[in-house]
Amino acid sequence: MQSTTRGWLRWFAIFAVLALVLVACGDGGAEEETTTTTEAAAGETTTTTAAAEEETTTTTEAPAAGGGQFSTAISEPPFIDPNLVQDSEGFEVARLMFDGLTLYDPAGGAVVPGVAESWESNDDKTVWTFNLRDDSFFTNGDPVTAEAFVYGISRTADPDTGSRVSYHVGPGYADVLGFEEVNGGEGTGVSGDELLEGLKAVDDYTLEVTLARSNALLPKIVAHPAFSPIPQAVFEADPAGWNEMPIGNGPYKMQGPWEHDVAIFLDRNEDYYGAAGVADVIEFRIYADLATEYRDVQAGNLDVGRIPTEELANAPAEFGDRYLLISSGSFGYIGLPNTVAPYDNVKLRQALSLAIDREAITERILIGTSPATGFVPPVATGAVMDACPYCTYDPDLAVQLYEESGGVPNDELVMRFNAGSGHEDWVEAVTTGWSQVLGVTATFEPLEWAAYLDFLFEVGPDGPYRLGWQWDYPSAYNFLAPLYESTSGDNYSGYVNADFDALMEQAITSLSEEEALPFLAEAQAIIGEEIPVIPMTFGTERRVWTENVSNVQLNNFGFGLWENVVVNG
Amino acid sequence: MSDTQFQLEHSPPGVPDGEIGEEEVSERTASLWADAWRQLRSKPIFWVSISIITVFTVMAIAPQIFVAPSPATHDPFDCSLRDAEGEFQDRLPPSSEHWFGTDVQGCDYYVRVIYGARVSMVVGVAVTAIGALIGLVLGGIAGFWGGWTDNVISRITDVFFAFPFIVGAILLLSVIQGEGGRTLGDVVLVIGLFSWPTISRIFRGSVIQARGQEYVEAARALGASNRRILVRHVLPNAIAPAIVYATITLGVIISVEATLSFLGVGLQLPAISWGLMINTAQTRIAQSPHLLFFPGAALFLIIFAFILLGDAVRDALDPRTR
Amino acid sequence: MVRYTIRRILLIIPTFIGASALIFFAGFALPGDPVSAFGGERALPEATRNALIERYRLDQPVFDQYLGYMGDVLTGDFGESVLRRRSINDIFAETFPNTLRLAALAVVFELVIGLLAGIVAALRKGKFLDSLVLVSTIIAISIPVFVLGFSLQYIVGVQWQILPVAGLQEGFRSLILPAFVLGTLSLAYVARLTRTSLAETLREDYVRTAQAKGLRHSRVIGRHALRNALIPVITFIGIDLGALMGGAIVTETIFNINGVGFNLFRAIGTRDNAIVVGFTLIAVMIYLTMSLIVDLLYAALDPRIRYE
Repeated sequence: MQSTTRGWLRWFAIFAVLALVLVACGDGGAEEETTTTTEAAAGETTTTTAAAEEETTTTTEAPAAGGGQFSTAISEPPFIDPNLVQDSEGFEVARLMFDGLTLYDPAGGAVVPGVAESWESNDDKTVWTFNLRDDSFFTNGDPVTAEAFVYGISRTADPDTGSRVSYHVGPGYADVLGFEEVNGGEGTGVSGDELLEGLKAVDDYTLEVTLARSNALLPKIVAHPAFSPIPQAVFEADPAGWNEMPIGNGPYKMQGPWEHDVAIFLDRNEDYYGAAGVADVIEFRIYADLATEYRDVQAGNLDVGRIPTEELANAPAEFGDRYLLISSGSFGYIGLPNTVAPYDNVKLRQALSLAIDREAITERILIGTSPATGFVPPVATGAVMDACPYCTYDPDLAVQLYEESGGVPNDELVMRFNAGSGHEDWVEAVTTGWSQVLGVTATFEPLEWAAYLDFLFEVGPDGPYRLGWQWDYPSAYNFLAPLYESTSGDNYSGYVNADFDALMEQAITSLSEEEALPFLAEAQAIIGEEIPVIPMTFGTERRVWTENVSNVQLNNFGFGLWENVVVNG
Repeated sequence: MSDTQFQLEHSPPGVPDGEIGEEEVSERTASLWADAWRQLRSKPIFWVSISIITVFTVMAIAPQIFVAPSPATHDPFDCSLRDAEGEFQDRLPPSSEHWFGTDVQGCDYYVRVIYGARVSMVVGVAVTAIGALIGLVLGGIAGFWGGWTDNVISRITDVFFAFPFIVGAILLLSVIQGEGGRTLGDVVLVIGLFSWPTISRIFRGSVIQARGQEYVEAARALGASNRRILVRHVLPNAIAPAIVYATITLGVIISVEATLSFLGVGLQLPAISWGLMINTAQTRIAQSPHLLFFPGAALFLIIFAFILLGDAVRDALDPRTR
Repeated sequence: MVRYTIRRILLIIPTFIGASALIFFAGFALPGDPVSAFGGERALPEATRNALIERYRLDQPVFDQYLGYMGDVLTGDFGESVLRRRSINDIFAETFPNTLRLAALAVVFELVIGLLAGIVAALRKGKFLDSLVLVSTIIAISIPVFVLGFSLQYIVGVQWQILPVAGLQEGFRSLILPAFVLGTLSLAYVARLTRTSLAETLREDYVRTAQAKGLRHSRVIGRHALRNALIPVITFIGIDLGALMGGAIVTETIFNINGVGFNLFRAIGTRDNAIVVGFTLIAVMIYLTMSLIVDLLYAALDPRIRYE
């Protein structure tokens, strides 16, 4: 017995010590990590500090022009490889690392020269020539040539790349000649080995793009990261490692490999051809939860952060002038199956829309978003204000139209949406409104993401459902053609209108964006009356920040202009 | 997983060894239960927990009784963001009109909290019943027959033990989700499927222990049938630890349902569940603490009551802890 | 002992096969498929879709996929995530150290606070301190982890600002709050287990004999009673550590800790099959190994077990 108990006591002691050592080791590991990253930073720039605590003291000595390090937040993106980047999180990072042919103008919906100094097209807008500047370099020193664009854009289209954003290169978007042959082909198993027929490097700094169809909007479309130049040699040397640390030509470059779910550190690119970034180092800290992110800003652990819905009401008061709200190019709507009875009845669609108190919902639940008054957010070129006459709250007219339409079977309807993404509250408010105003039994059913996609694509909706649209480029055309043109793959409501389709064709083949505006306006008038989907909200983006930083700006996409952020002394 | 574990402290009450013949057994068993009851009755903790449980049970069966005196609406789904004058009605603090305030949708929170009891009680009782049924049958068979049967059942139990509970529950619940919405029944079934292994193991152990007692050997020698031995001698002596465990489990199960709902994989709106209410309330704690407080307190009270009861029952049934 | 060890190890095999099959088939019974989940609200072009399906063997019958997958697992390859195009081994290697640190600190809390409370309660049985420990452990068990986690996060992190709100940026300090939340439930069990076990041991004959022989009270408790009383407690903690290392979904999610449970939960939400199956499998393996170690230690120290 004695030896037994002694043995146990020994095990107990070993166990306890082991546990403590584990904790201590792990902690040491974390410290080491931080030291290496800051050391790397110090190697690049003299102003960066050795340890986080000293940061404030050293940055006071930094020149007024900039320097220093700040942190902002994203959620873990699947990709930061610009050919694959598919969400706003990856976009935020890729935008700083890669400059395309053109760049979005932060002030409005226009584009400004990027790597392409100038561009021109033939008369029917099918052949475009981009003249590239010769002083843009990848951060490994290689020059950015027309070949790098041919390779990068082709790689996006290659099915072996498995990119979700390859549609940008295809029909309805850029529609580069030869897209179908590559993207619709068998694939070879190797990403980026098939080049698009329509892309031609005339010489090192001249890129000729031939389109399958006239497109006046091409300069806007190619500002997306999907059209980024890629250094072929770097990618091919280590395809698996590329997404961990892509090499680009933008104002910032990666400090070290992507620390998944922890952070991405970007250093200023000192060889950048354009205006240099202000801060030396930008940390994209990765959060899984907006509430935690916001609390970290409150506690001063994070410099710039987003705001969870629940805090939207309090944030302006709490942060004062360290709060920013902008309208962005996103559109939230309730989809209806236009080809399925009774939703093929225009009056029913109008009645459902009129029975929604958008103002109450946006003021109390989706606080900060604006109630949609049309089908295109005002920040997009070509948007028509108040294009939706049925987007007001008018219970009496709603009841009248509902009666005239014959209503829904048994006065019962179920709205479906994807669960766990913050849609529960407003959907509940919408269905409660339908129940009370129209006297129906409206309920809702949240579906898990995969099940929801199944419901949208495979099963096909049989009632109202939620979807949103985020623009790909800042034009009304991008809100209209994909969602309501009868041939579009994103037209889930199944809306078909020959007049609308004709207007879309006229708009895209116009010789300039200005010429297209009347067609776009007319198209909005048509859907305003027929209401193929119920517009709900126009998006907004918000940030709050600590006193550590200033000059925080967002562009119309809702992305931060992080290159302009000033770290305060 | 481990932060919502099922592991519970349990020490199977020892059946005192002794020279007892078959004829004395039922008497002895009876006195064990009588003893336990006498012991229980004298404990204020027992009466406290029983009263709380009774209140919540009535609330679950007939919520109308509780909402009747409330000056606000008695319908938990009668909600509105604005009243007739256009004033916003959501997230009002508690008042004489709305005893517990109102929620995000402008629903009367008192009525919602009262109606929320049903889900918790149904889940708790039904899951425990399912878990106990599977556990007792499998554990009993394994313990009583032993040999190959025991081996197979024990391996199945091992598989479920090794399977992280929350992950298992989430996976299965997502599967069911595909068929169109999760119902209360789905949630009960899935949690139930994962709640039997411990009870099975405990019962198997105590059946083995009871089977080995001299009086069972004696009964067998006297030619009693397997069934008679099982029903008359083994069960009454082996069931006590399982009962103790089941009582405590009831509280834990209620917590598990709330946790799954909180994670967004349990019940879904428009169902009324305290877990869902806390899920909605969690990030609004600063502006509207009442949204977290009332369902949180209700949840805590009912779990507390069941665990307290389980504790008291254990003390009563297990002489060693006295 | 050798025979017992071999038997015990052999017993793991059917458990592992059963659990892996359950995980794999449950993972594949999920609605939709990972490739369309990757596509999101816009359906992928057919060719891209096919290229991905082929790459991840999704065109094979499920049973073949299972065999192929288990073959890879035996060589130490847990597959690749379709959604993130990353090796499961890499993702696990990144996240496991965080989970391990969190679990280890949680166990330290369990040991220090739980044991101390249990010992005090046992020595003062029936007195005020005993009742205090009993009531507070019941309260700790009765508060759902997410309520506790969220409340503490708000009070300690936001209101008082004495500990980081979330994440792992501040190393050890970042771990204190989540580890405490994670350990609370087990801490309460440890306290109660210690109390019961020690109180029982104190009534054993050899302890009474030691006391009767006039040995000092502290010596009796320290040398004799405590050693035996701790056996079930250590067993409990060993198994608990095994479970904790499999990740703590709720705690890691609330405190934004990039651990195993956190990634697992996110993967289930996004239907990232490979991560779900791979991570769960690894968690099961860890749990089985820990139970094996605990069982073998137990058997080595208590011969009766071996001959059961």
